[in-house]
Amino acid sequence: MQASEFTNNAIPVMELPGLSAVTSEAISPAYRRLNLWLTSSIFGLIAAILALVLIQPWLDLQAPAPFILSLCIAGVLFIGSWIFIYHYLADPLIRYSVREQDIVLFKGLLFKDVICQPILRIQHIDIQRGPFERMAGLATVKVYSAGGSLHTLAIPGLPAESAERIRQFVLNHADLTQDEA
Amino acid sequence: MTAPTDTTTSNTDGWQRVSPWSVLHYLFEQLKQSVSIAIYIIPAVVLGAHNNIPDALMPFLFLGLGVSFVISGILKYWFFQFTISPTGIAIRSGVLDRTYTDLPFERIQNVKFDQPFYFRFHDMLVVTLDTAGSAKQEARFAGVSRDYAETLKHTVLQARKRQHADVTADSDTQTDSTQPETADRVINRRSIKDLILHGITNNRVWILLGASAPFYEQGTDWVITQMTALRPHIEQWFGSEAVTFWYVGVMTALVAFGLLIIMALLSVGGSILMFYGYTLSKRDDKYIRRSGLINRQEVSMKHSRIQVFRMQQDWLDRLLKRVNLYFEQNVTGNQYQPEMKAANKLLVPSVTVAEADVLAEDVFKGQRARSMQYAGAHIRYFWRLMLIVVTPLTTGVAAITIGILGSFGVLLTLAFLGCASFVARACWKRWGLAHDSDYIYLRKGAFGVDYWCFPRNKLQQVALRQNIFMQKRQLVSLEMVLASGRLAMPYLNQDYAYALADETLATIEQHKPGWM
Repeated sequence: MQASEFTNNAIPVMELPGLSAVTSEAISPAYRRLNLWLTSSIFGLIAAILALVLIQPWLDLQAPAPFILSLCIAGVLFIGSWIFIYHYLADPLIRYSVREQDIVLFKGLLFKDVICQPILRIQHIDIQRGPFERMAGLATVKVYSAGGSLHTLAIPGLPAESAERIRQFVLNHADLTQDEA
Repeated sequence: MTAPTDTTTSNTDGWQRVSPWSVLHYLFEQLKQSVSIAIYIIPAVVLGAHNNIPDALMPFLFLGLGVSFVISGILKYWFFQFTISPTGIAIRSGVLDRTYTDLPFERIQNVKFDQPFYFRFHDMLVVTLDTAGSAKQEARFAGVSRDYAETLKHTVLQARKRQHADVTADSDTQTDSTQPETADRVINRRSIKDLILHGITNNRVWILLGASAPFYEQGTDWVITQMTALRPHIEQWFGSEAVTFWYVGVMTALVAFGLLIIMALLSVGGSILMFYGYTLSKRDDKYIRRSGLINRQEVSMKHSRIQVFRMQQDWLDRLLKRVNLYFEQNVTGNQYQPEMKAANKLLVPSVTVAEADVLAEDVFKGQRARSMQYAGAHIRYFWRLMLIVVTPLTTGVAAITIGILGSFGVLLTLAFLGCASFVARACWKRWGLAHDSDYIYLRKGAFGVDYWCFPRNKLQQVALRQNIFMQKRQLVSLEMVLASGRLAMPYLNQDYAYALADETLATIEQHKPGWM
């Protein structure tokens, strides 16, 4: 910080920017579509394969096998539908906010998380795009702090262009070089 | 920099080798490796695989192995070369697989000295240079004389300092401070008595039983007499089958006690082995820990790197009024190391409470970890513990005890429920968070107590978590991420947690303090 621009005025506490009242943006709706589509196709495929094994005419299945198979199919469909419902409800709740000094992520259906990462403390930032995300034109921004890989802040389901903008904003941020030792 | 070459042989092009004694080090490393491999061979030997090898060949096999170890040690020594430039250290190593490592001084996070027993006679050291990157990027110099190691360390520190110093500072003035050291100031020592205490308390429960060892035989006699006296009643109440259960159960408990005593003794031995001759000293802005009976170890930690301190007290520590004090710095490279060996933690074992306070004060000036008023966790945290931990456990205990013992099991189940609720309550009561203008304090534990304290300036990230039930009650769990790891406080008042997070973030973002 330059000495010339140093000020030390009293700030009324109520005027401090608060995490409880941040205006946030939703991630791309394509993220939910992608997840729903992926969930249904993966679990659908597994169930279909199991069903095929069950009804194929060539091999005669011994007594408990058909029962176990049907149980597996039911299980796969059950878990799949739970994941489907979860994504359906939880994905729209993922919101983020890029502020002047930090990045805030909101997420969670039953467990609501608010995670705030000051830009000053960012070690590096990268954009990850898996094959399916690329297909959907999405990207995940990952922000690493010195707190270790367990506490990486990841904003999923961003349109590729927004992700790149966030990355540029962070990289151009004056604070980023401050911490380097 | 002056490069003393007393233990190093210099080449014409500036590449040097470490002392030939380092062959010993490579030999031992090799041996250690083969022992760990040998563990996998044991089953094969047991199954008789060695019968396929003629007996006459066995000595040659071992001889060959030994010779190959020696040769590989010598080759490793010969091919390990390094050179020190004004900006960093370059290392060429590897016999077949040549690697070239370039380590700029500013990347070196930590300089660590180890003295394995085979280097004792020549007072040589293994120097490890930790870098910020992955664990693979660290450099190890085996077989370096103490003087040279100190100079190396000093060079690294000086180079780092020069880097940080203003550009205007003339590098000539630095030569003054290159003079060997403002000597270490020892700020804490641990006596054998302390270490025995440490061994005892770090094995927790066990030792009380160990202390009663002299009375053991009388005790056993007494127990047997009592058991026999009670036998008719037991038979009467629960039938003859229960009698076997009665004897077997009590005998198992006695054997377990015996084992516990042995463990306590082992623990004391381990403590002495690890911390013999413990000194914590301070030089300039570094804390240096030296200890070890067989292998001398030296770990240093820069003051500004310390992220958090932790005063740990088990219930036994509290009885004896001792504290294990940890200073933790940023985690680099390999995260999962055993607590005592980890380079990111500096432990001062079993100091008195007063000493701990003095040391903590030295690290974080003005800290008041032990005298703060802590805001506790909401009572719902206790009910949550009861619901998701105690209830399932009690159900399990009930299923087993009532299943085996019938109605008598109900009593046991109730007793278990009582104990478990008591522990849960102690856990809940212990949670606490406090802050002042500079620090945030966290208290946790059950019958023991852990105080954590870190400067608000060192915060890396904040997370506020709540589930839908907490949302109704305006409760939130606060997670604070530091470079040394995460600290969490459950079930705080939402307004307090948000206010603390907002205020701390605002200060950091406004004043931009460094964390290293």
